[in-house]
Amino acid sequence: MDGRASDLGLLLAAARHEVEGLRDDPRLGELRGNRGTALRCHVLDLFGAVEHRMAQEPSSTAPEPVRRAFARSLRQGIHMLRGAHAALPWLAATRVPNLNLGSLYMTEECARILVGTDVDLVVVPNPEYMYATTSWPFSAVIDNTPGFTLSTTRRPIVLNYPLSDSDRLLLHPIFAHELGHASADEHGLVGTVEAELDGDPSFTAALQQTVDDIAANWTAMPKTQISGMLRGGLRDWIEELLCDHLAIEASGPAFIWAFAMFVMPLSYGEPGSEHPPNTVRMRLALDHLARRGWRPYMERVAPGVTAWLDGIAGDASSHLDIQFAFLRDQLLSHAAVLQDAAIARAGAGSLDPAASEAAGEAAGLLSRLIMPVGLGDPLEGRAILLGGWEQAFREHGDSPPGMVRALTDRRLQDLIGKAIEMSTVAAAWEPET
Amino acid sequence: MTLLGREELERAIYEEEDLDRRLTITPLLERGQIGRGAVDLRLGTEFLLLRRTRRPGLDPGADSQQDVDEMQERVVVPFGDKLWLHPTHFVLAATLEFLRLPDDMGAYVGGRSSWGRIGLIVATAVFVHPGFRGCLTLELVNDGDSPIALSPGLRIAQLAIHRLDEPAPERNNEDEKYLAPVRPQPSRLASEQSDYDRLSTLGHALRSRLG
Repeated sequence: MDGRASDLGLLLAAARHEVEGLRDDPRLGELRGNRGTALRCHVLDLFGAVEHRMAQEPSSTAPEPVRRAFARSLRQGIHMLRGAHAALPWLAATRVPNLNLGSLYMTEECARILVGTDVDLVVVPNPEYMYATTSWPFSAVIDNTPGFTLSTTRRPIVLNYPLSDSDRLLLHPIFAHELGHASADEHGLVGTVEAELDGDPSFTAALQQTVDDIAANWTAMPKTQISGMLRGGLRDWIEELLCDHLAIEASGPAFIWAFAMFVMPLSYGEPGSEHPPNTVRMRLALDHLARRGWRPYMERVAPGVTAWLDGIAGDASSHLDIQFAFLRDQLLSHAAVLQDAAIARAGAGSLDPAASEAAGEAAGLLSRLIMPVGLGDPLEGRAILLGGWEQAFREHGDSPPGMVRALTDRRLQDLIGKAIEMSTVAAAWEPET
Repeated sequence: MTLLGREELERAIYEEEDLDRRLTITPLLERGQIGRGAVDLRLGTEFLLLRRTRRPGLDPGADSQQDVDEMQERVVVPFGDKLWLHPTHFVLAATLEFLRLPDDMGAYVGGRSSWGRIGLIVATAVFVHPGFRGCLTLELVNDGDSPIALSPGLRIAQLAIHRLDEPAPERNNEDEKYLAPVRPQPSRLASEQSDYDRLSTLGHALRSRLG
């Protein structure tokens, strides 16, 4: 029986062993500077929460349900402590950054714009070819330990990227999409969009109609369950699309170019349970860029690629199964709601099409193999990256294969990364008085 | 060749409109880096350290370029952090500034005496060719008895720029071993295999003549 004295003895000893083992790891030592400190506090909070749980050990005469609940609570804690081993290389990554420093600075700027200033961004290479984000990785235990008080309220965000992409600066606007997940979570953006949709009678009527159609023709599932399934899918798709829109606000067209290089080799119009079809994402992204005034710039620097992306977006209305078609149709018809939420969140931090002038200067310098920090005042990092794409089209071709060739151009991306690093340094530099 | 003084340096850096004729040193964080006959250069954020290995040593004639590269470890030291250079240790660094010399200018790089006086030897390729573009690789050795902390952004070297009597012919980009580098470059001696092959052939020929 779970909760016997011997079981509790094992669990208490195992929890203590895990905490002590982790605490002794030198990677959990004090950090210099600010980067990683909130994540470290979060890990220490996990230890504190588990120890707080351990201190609640019931007496040997406590009722059986109490002892079983205590055992479950410790098992959950031990499970998470074992997961915390993953945090040690994350902390190590803050001491010796693998990611290009220029990209790191630019990603921190995007985090400031999209999530807020009270953020600890930890960027970690991943052996799998995967971009992913995790915020508050151990909150499931910490937040569910009554009586335990957090030592940090600063949000730790762990951003994983494929190790092979550490110097592929042209792909790094994808980081802005990843930060979108933390932004949506921190600011309740999915709920904001859902509330807007629920306030629209055409949406609620379409939802009801779809539920009725599915119940009548496709499944014996109760209508409440069908409705819940559709709403769950809607929330997931809204979050993904919000992340795209937030990344566009932060990076402009550089996002859609990076996005196309990352996702189009993987799928086209196939929907996923959490991801809308790429055709739909492309359509909404292009609409957003057009609304924000980027279309003339895109047509000027990459007319061939813009036509290719238009072609993909043109297939957004292709046939989908009824539940996915409902999600697609509602999100396309409420595109402005998604855009509004992203625009409001990014505020003054949005990259404006006026940045295309600075991007042009950066591209001109890159064409001469000069690091594009700027001839006068330092150019803004995001404009340098945009100029990098501009030069990539010029040098490698305004076409999808040209974009792939650009991703292998190490020198171009080295120049972009170092320029972003140096423009950040130059902008922050305080001359001797 | 004429050494450029402060006024000429400022004109070449800030006032020349034609990018091909402009002396590009970017980012130049402070105008005060331009001295009477030289420009101070700062330490960048990337380093190449020699790894400890079980190999007997380095033989550029026998080792591949990959062997040479694998003996070096790239280390990034962000602003605000330090790299400690211990006595006798050697490290490759790069300048923070990216240079682009026009075709009528060459330059000499040297250490700053204030570093030399605490034992830090800053050597480099010394002469920078007209038309060079990139961050300069600096070879740093601690020749003193005490470890030295190196912080990115410190003024570490100086560049004396000379105007040539006549512009040097344009260099063919494809032929350059070190084109527009932004970080310290490892030695490319191992890629000069043909020299080693010829020396080996010559050695065999001479040995057989003697024997």
